[in-house]
Amino acid sequence: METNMLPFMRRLQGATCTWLVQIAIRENAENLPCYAPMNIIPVKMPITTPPPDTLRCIPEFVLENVVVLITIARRTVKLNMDDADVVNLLAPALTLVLTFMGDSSRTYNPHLRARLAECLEAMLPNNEDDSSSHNNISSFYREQIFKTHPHRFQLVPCLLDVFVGIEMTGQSVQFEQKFNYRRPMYVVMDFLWGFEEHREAFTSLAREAEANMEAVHPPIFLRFVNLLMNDAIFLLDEALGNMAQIRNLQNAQESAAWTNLSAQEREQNLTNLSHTGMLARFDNILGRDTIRTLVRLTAHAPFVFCHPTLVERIASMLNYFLLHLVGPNKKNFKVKDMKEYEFDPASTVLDICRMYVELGKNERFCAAVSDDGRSYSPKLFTLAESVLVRIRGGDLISSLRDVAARVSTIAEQRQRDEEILANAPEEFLDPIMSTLMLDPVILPSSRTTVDRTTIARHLLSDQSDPFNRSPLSMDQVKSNTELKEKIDAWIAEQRGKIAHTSTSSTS
Amino acid sequence: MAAMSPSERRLQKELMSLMKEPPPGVTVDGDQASQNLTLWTVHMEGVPGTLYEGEKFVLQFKFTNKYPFDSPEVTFIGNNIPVHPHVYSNGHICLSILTDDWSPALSVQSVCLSIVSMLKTTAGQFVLC
Repeated sequence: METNMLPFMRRLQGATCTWLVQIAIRENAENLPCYAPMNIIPVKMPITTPPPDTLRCIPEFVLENVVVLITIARRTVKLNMDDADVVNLLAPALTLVLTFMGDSSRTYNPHLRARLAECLEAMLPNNEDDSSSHNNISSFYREQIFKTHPHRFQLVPCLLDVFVGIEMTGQSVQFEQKFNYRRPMYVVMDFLWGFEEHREAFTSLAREAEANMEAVHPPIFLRFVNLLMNDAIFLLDEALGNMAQIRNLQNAQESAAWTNLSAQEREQNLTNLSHTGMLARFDNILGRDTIRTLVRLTAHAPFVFCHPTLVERIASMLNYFLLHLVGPNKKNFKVKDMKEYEFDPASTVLDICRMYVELGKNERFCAAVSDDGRSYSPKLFTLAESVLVRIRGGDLISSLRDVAARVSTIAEQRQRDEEILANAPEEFLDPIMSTLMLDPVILPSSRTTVDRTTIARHLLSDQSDPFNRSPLSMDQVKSNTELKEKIDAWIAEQRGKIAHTSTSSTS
Repeated sequence: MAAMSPSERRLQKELMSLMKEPPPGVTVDGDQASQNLTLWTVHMEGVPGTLYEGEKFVLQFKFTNKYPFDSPEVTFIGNNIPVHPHVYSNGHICLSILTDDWSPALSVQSVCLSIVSMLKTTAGQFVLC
């Protein structure tokens, strides 16, 4: 290859980055003598202006060429002696990524936006798991970019935008494909997590979400967390199903019946095994990354997960997987060569227990754990404890015990409450769920009173009043303070009665 | 004992009220439904004075754990499927409140009433679906 070819290409792509960004941030102007950007205007992020029409005239490959060059440079790092030269391309490329990756109005094509996330991954410095690493100087330069780039604060919001954005792309993104697209995003998030200022960016998005949980357009962080949970549930469920299947196939090989099978049947079984093994590996790796991200976020922004709209889902998800991994069926997943399938149930159990410990400080979470009739039983945490002892999770045991105690206290109290409150007057009951309303709100058009959690849940999927189908959003509902006072008074009265009878019976 | 999930609680309540005060011609198999709250069998008699007078139909209700936020899956089952423009021969029912127009304010009872009234409408009033 021509000696100067790579450096020339890098310079060309570096200039392309600057040029593309300059075009993208321009506003539409009338009667320009020429559409080319004739002067450099400073880049301000986040970009709030609508994309100019000229951007439509630029073919996608111009953007994709940059991605290809950077990802290839990463893959062939061993062959590149002048890697430091790539660094000059990285700063403009990061501006390019931040301009286009999260913004569907500038980059319609979701696949291309996902490619930009891949490009971002290729721009990271060395990490421990790398098989081929940069030399130290190059790695240092790369790290500096993420510490000093003027627009680095946009990294986290852009990542979340693209993460959420590829979920809804019509039919073009295959279901499995989205997991592949998300893998590099996890790597980047993992890296960013090491920096205080980027962690802060996650926190401030989480705070913003907390303040706007009930907004008409759900905040980005809420949607992100929602999808993370969907992915985690799907991947772990698939992974466990595959592990159980692998176990069956492996057992079949060792059974006496195996020798009686025809050669063809044996081959068929072996093919099945290797196919399932591949799927299991994929699910296990991605599941692990997803869970790891959830562990970080629950530790960092527990308030989002404990919000009424999410708390039930996270609690039932944790219960479900903990029960499978430590419960009576746990041996169903014991297979040979767990390493080969990247199956590491011990670390998943540790991760799940860490989330319990973090979220368990919150009363609403504990209540949601105990309310989950599907997987929760008081035995669940005892089972988890005996597993933790064996997998060196000893330091978690005492904190998990605290959570277990809190959950069971709440469970008992709920049970008692349920008995006390079972015969509540009809007007105190939610007309949809038939539960006692703790926060009654009035729907403006049908004038019906329902519990806030009920209507919030309904509006997540359907923006209308369930009683007359007229349009409705959460900001239109009004607290029914009069009824709330009545209900509160009634609850206090019932509790008082019970306290009275129980003291008189013990005395 | 594990607490009932919210959707089970609501189904339990609906079951009680449907057994106590069923709409005319409608009976629910209470034993079966209380065994498994997510699968109900409802017997329905053809309304006197209509084409279906004297006939007996069986409806099956399937509920997900998202009920009542998600609609139940309702089909005619058994040997006698009503011959009706909005009912497929495999028992599937074409009724908007079972799909797009479902609302959590509806109930098993209101679905039954809608099906009864659907079976009352005479030819000519139909919009084919």
